[in-house]
Amino acid sequence: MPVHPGSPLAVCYRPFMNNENIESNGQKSRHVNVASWERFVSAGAGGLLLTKSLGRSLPGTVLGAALAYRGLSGHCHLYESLNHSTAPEEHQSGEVRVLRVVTIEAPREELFQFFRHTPDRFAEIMSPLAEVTPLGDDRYRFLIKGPFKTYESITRVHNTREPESFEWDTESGEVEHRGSLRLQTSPWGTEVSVEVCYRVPGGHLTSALSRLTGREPHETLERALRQVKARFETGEVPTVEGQPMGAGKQRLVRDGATA
Amino acid sequence: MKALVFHGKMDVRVETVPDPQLLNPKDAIVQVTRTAICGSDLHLYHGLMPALEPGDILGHEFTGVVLEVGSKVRHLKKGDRVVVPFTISCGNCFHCKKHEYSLCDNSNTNPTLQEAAYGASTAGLYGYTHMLGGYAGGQAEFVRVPFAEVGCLKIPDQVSDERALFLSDIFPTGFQAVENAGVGEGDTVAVWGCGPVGLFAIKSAQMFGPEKVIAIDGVDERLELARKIGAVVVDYRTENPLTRIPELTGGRGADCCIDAVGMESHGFGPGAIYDKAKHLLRLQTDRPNVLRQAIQTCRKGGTVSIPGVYGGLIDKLNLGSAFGKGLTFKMGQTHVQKYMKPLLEKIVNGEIDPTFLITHRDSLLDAAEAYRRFSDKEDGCIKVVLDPLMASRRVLEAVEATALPVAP
Repeated sequence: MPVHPGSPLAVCYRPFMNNENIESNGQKSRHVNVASWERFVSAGAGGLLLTKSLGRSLPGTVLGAALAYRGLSGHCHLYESLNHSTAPEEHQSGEVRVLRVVTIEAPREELFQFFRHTPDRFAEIMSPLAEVTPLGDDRYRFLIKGPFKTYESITRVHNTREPESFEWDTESGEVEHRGSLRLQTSPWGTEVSVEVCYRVPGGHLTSALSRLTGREPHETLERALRQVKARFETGEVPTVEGQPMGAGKQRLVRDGATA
Repeated sequence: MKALVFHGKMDVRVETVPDPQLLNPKDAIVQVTRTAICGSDLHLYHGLMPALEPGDILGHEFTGVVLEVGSKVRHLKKGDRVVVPFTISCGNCFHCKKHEYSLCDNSNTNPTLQEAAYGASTAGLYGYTHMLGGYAGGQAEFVRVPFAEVGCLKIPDQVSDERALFLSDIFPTGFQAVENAGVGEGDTVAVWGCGPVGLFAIKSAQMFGPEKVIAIDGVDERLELARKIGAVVVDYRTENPLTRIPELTGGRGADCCIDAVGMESHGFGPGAIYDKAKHLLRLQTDRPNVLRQAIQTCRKGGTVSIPGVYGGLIDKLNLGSAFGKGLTFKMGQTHVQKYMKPLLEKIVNGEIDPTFLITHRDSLLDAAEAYRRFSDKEDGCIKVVLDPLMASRRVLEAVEATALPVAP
């Protein structure tokens, strides 16, 4: 994704790996260069063609299989030879990058205190993305739930510039993970930007699946920041958890629980 | 408690659900004394609003008595009679401080859902989809009122629940529409839709000394009521507003046009048929027939004000006409808390009796039938007020009537 030099994204945009790294890792021939909708169409058309032609027409079978492969793998050899790609950068590298900015009407120092000097708070703001346990001495254990297994990594907070920013980085573990939190004073309050980047083994497929399973990192981070905003501005976090509801919903919930 | 629960399109039922409880320190629990069905509840009933789920309790116009308050509620106490605005607002954020209560930053419990659809999230509302917070509504015996000090206005002793009830939504909504339209002395105001909001817009417009208020609708009893309160009526079934409004305004067009219909406009002619077809095919969520007429018949440099609810996408909007004539648009959910106190004063002073449009009074237990009747515009139904205590009151009356005299 192109980042405009003046945009807030530019401030903290630091991907782990650029495309040269991927190429040097020898993954170039399999990287994703087809956009999601195109993959969907390819896979659908390929599958259909394959079932219609199997055992009847050799060219149809080959074409069907090729289209299905293109859709499922997300890689197109033709695009590659033309040096073309329709996939967003994060899919190409298998990296998930999340940036959220929210303005909170509270002094920067108070917010910094809240985020940085209370280990449980850092764990809490990260909790939508991972299960975080403070280990003391600015180290945290991150348990990131993937669709097939849970990945563990140890993260260390560093580079603290009070009261404007701090960063964190993977010290060890299966998931590469790093991020930053920045606080900027504006006429409307304090602008809080949190950026999180992580790379899980299995790359784009895993992140696509984690989206399907409902853990959309953009949304969960946004929700967490909005809750902090509400807490600072109103003294409480709005909720409907535990309010009455009718039979229709109880039935749905029960079905979900037994499924 | 008993509450009106959404089950699906055209399927609402009164059923027993758990009583609400205090969930946050600024909450209050209110026992509902009167609750109404709003025209915008029909958008939910017709299954047109996204993110409404079976089991959701509807209703966003209600008065009640405070039963219980949270630890951080100072200015309310048990026994206070209150009217509750339909917008849930924190009172502390940037927008609430500017009295833009319906744009509250903090009260929506599901901000990400609305941000994805609208680009920003707005205030949570009672009983109005999970996109707007998923709060349980007021067509029930009891309701939890979050941010209760911002969300409750005490009703003075001399004002009945019924007269205060419409401060929760439709009176401020009609009034804000008029304020947004910039109605001034000598103006001609055209109001589309003579439902409750349209009728309050007519009444509110008259407070600003306009030369004429034109009311457009196609339902007899609504037109009749609009005529009764002093509007010049246009029945779109027999007269074309696109030609009739210029006739009534010396060819200039109306200074202020108010679309109090919103996304489910009926209308007439090819435009209406086109909208209906696209709507049925789900190619557009909202039918903008009224909005097109408002733009077309507004005078050059005039203002179009939209209190009617729109939810999604519209098609074939005559923006060229609006641009060419240099129109101003103002719209949005009502900042109810901003208007409640001044409008309550008007009720206390006797300037307006908001009960003029009530056509039906029912028990909460009959709410499902009331929805059907309101939706079908049957039996002259304009505004339904539900009384959660009506059933018990009737039982008491019956017991008193049949009780045998006790021997001394």
